[in-house]
Amino acid sequence: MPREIISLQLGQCGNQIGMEFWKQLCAEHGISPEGILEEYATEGTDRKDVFFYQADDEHYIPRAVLLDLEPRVINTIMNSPYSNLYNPENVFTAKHGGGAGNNWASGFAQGEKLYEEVFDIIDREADGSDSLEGFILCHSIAGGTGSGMGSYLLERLNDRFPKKLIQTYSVFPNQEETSDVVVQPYNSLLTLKRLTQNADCVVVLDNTALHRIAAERLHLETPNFAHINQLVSTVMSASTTTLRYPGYMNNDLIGLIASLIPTPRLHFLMTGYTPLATDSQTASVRKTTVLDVMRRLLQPKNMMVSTPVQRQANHCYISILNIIQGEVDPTQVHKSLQRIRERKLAQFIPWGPASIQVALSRKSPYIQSANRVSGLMMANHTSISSLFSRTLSQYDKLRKREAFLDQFKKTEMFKDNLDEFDASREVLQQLVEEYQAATKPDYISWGTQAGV
Amino acid sequence: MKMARWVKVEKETGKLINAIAGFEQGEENYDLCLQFALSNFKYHRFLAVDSHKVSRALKGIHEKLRIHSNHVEAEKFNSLTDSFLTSPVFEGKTEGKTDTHYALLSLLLTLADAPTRSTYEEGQKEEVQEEVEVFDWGAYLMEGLEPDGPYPESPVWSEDEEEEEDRQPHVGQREAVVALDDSGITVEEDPSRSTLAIVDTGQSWLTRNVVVQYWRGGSDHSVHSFQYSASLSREMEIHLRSSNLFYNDRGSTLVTETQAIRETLWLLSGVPESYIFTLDRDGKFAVRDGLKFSHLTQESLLTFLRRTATYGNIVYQLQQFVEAVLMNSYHDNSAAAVSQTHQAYATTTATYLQNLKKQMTILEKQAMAQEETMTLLTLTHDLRPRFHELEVLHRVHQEGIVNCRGSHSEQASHLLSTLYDTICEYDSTGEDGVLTVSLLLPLWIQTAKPYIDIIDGWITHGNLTDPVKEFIIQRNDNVKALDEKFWETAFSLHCSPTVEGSSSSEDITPGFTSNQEGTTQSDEQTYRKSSWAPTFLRPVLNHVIFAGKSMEMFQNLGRLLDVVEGGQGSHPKPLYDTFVENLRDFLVHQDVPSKPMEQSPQNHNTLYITAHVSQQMLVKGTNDPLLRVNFAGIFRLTAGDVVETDMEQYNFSDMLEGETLQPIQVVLRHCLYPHITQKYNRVCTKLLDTLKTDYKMLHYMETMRKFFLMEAGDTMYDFYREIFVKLQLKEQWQDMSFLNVALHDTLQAHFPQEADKLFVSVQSTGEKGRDRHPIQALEGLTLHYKVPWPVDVVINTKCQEIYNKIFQFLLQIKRAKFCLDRLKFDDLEKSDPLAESNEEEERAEKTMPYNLIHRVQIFRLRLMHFVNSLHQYIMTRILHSTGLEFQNEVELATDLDQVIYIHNNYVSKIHERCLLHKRVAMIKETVTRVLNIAVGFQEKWNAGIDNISEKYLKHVEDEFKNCVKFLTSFLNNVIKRGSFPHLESLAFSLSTSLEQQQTR
Ligand SMILES: Nc1nc2c(ncn2[C@@H]2O[C@H](COP(=O)(O)OP(=O)(O)OP(=O)(O)O)[C@@H](O)[C@H]2O)c(=O)[nH]1
Ligand SMILES: [Mg+2]
Repeated sequence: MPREIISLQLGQCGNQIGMEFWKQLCAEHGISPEGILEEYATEGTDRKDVFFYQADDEHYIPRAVLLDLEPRVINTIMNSPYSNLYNPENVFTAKHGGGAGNNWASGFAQGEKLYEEVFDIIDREADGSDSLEGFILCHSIAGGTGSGMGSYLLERLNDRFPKKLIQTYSVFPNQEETSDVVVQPYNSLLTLKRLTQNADCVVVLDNTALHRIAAERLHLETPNFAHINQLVSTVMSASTTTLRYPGYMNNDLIGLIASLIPTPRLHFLMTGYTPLATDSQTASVRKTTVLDVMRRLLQPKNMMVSTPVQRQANHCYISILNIIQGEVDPTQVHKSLQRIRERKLAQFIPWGPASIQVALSRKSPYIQSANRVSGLMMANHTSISSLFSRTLSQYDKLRKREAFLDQFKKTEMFKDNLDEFDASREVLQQLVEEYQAATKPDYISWGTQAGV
Repeated sequence: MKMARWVKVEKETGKLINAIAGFEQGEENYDLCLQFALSNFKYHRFLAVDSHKVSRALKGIHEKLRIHSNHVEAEKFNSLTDSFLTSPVFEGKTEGKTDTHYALLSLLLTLADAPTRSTYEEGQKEEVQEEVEVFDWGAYLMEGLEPDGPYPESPVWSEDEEEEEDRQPHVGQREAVVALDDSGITVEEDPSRSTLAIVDTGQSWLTRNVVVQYWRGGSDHSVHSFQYSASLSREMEIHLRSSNLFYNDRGSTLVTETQAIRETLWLLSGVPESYIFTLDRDGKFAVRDGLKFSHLTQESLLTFLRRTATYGNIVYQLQQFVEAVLMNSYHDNSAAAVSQTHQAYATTTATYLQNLKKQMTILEKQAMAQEETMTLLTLTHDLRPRFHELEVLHRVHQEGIVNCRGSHSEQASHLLSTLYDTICEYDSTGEDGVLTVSLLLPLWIQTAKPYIDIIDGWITHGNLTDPVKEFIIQRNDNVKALDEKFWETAFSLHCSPTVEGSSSSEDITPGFTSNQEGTTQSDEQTYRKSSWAPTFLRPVLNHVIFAGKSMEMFQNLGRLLDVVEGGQGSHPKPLYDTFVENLRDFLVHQDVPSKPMEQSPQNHNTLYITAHVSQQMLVKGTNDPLLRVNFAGIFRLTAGDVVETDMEQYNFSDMLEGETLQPIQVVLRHCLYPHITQKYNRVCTKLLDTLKTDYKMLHYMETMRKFFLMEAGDTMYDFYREIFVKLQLKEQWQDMSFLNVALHDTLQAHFPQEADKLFVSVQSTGEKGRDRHPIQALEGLTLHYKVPWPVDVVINTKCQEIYNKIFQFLLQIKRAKFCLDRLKFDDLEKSDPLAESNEEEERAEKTMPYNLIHRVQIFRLRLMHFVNSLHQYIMTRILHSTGLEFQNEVELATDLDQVIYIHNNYVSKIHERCLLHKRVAMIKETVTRVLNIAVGFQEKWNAGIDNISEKYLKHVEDEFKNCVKFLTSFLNNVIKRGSFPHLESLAFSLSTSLEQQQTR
């Protein structure tokens, strides 16, 4: 009776990172691109059934639903070696194939329209699992399909599966690249409202930071999406590793993330991963100890979210979860934790416990890794609000000029008014305020002044 | 003719002696002189007298006298000699100057070697002539007479022989007499036979030659001597008579020293009946009253003989013991047979006694030969080493046999210990003890043979052959082979009732304790249990026990053949033989009696540990077998080039032996222990291997961790989640079939092979009446795992109980975590469904208590932090870490006992570290309170905010705060004291939570 997790991947970005994620899982579990267990995969103690199910012919099939409003990316997948991996019934592309044109409203509206079809797939997938843990949603918040349709899905999922966990891997647009979607502030704002209200946990993947990391840490001149998605898939697989390689604890997703989230809205998590090895680096990182890994994870440059340095803001950690992979002596882990606490290497919220959790997990026996130990950090840090502030200010700028609103006004939602924008802005504003309040000791009595 | 002449010569010689020395015929000295003179006459070649030489000598004397101005004497001398020479008296001739003349003159000249010293007297002339004449006449008269002794021929023969042999001693080597004098010449034929034979009649000869029947009151009159020293007793008597009116000579018997010596020798050969020494009722020798020596007072004689009698007692006692053992009747209270150890001891003692007897016989012969002076004093002096030996033997016997009653095993081990301890004792006295050690060592070694053989049979062949139960370890017949308590109880040490009682059967069990003192306790036990084992065995007793039990295990597994050395075909060399051989090699210069055997090359292996190393190990006080084995390994590695130097070292250390501190122990450590240890290693390693490979011991241990300690987190999660969900829904969960189906299903998915071995039951905790915390609802949930024999010897029911306790505690934590994890924010904020359905306006009016909600959410975070910290602490810091330690230790274990001990230790360690030990009951209770809050809190939360009052929140917040405060201070104190180092990380994570709370 596994705690199944269904992944929903939307839009170009969602499908591309989803694709990488499944490639990674297949490699880690010794499953061929056709979904057949490799000869060498005899170890057998891993739990494939969380993310895969077995068809009658022993094929492993991902619990994945691939959705896009344009066929290009999905076609690429279906022409790749992994074409036979997915259940074709779970692959859905809009018949018209026009996409959402980077328009949240379009994506949202199409999602509404395709509700029946999409939820047929999702329901079937949910029914097919014994005890569904929840959903993982992969998407970008800047485009049209991933953000708009994703938003719609989030709302509906919440209604239909109120007890299930909804976690998203949300790609935030690259701020430094002007070529990126111009209307992303609108799309982001509107998506962020749903992410705040309808998701239980959002793993923020910031294209800005991912680009930087790819360039700096991996010494790449011009990192492309393939490189970035590699990073993303590493994070995604590492964050689910304890579910797939059972150990003493952390056997369910909710158990992992519940303690990271203090209050309903403060559920945006940053991630960091170390060591990110390129070939030239392997030698030096090989000897990494647990303490090394945990210390590196606390360095801002390893974070996959770009936040401006705001000293005066007193940003701090609300909670940290470190997932350490490899053969690790638990005693070592506890010693490292103590060091970190003693030396106050991490600044924590002044109103609650300094919660650093460590989950230990094995590494896949089928993948050669240069490092003995590697670690993923999932942290709830108040500085994530700077991303939202930036979205807010960009939105405000666009809104002031009434730029690009035509496309939105064409849709049902914005036909009459732009209230949805204002409502979303308020939700996001409050989110930023709450994050800022959480940096102060009186957060405990925050509810009284603010209301909702 | 010749004979007649000879007889004459003898007679004359007798007269001569009488004349010159003044000894009377019949005196001892007379006989001696006669013998000497006769032999000279007989065998010395007397050249015919040289007349010229005599004339020259006479002339010389004449001249000398003149030079000394003794003219008168000179002239007189000249005229006398001339007149003597010319007088025709000899040889029937009419003229003088015969050979006889010259011979007589020559004699006179020789006799008067210093003629100038004496003053001349006229009368001397007569004397000289007279003497010559008497001599001459006597010889002449006796000529032609037949000798009238009863055995005229034989004396000559015997004389011849006698003399032949006698001459050798004259050349030198007095000591050699003892050894040589074995030619079968009986004493009766010996002293001065020829002379007596001639003069005595048959009856008197007999009387003289047969020992006087002093035991009938007869006394040898020849004893009487006129020498003052020889009549001390008479003098004393006279003195006593004269000084004491009432002195009464109580009819004393006069005995000669020779008689006393012989009786002493008989006494020491263990002859119970003799005259001087009488055996009284209780088997002790006493000295007969009224004995006297001519030359000793009665008192001094008595004390002297009494002292000797004590040694006689010892000999007699030992002899009695030997006989009794051989007759199988010693210690007749224990109807059964005599233990083999006693038998062996008796045999070696018998050998010793035999040697003693032999020596005594030789001495007796010597005494009878009477060729050397032998007095009681010299005898006792010569026998002093023997006496010392006897004393030692007596001491050992008294302590080892006589003073020890009890079971065979006690007796045997006591005897061996006594022997060994005595050896050690003398050994440590250095040079003085060397002789004693060389006496006792073989004795001990041979006595130990049956014991060593029993050990050998047990640990080499797997048979504990011990018919009379003399071995320290006994098989408990009531323990069945396939019993999980087999290892603990199948064998017990034989202890005296005083030691027994509390721990007779537990004695061999590995220390099962649920606290940290486990180690020390078991050490004490080891010490105590070994106190009844023979001393020499103590250092390796555990090895013997473990090896033996391992063999027994093999036997019960039906796989004895796997482990018996060399399989069925060849027989391994007996341990005892190997031991003795090694010993011989080791003590090259010491003479250890043992069967000669070729030295086998493999012996070198065990000997590479040099005395030097062993001694250092001794000095450190740690006879660590492992260390030893390692040393052995090291030495063996470099064996090729070390051999030479090693051997040198041996001799060196051997030579030093007298000075080294405890060489005998060292010797043992070299020659015996390595073999036992080697066997131990082989057998125990093999057993462990077999258990690991064929009986999957490690697998079962892992299984216990997987399910009871939830190492297989996902599988157990699947199982307990169903129960938790039922609990949450307040459904009946105690349904056995539901539980077992749930468990079975989970196992089927991931561990199908275990599915039918693990099952679950609910045991009533018996405290239904009292209102219990909701968290304790699951306390009766018990897992059962069917561990098959022989692995259940390690993982026994007792262990499973503890595993279960930990399992139940883990379930509590898991449940608290499960409850908190599953709290959905939506559930809290949703309003009362009843209120909702009523009127919508009302709902709008009523503003949500946001602050309260916020506080509840924050409280959730705190609870969660607590539970997660605890969970993480238990699962990783305790179970995971300790599990890894345990696995390492098991890898290193060398015998099953260690594995059992390690496993028990592991179980009790995690039991304690999981806060289940009584000493940390306070912590446990507080923790339970917090876990309980969590469970209750979940219920409130799920019911919605409307059901949570400020008061409730305040209450739980305070309770939680108190708990955390208490725990933090308690843990900090504990940590400062350093008694629970592992609690540190828990304390740390909890303390931060409090710190943060206080700063707000
Ligand atoms: N990390 C990452 N980001 C991507 C990738 N593809 C697109 N993006 C980001 O996603 C945003 C664009 O959204 P898309 O996913 O292309 O849009 P979509 O969801 O397909 O919506 P439409 O194309 O408008 O229907 C931009 O901010 C890109 O930077 C990708 O493969 N990896
Ligand atoms: Mg697209």
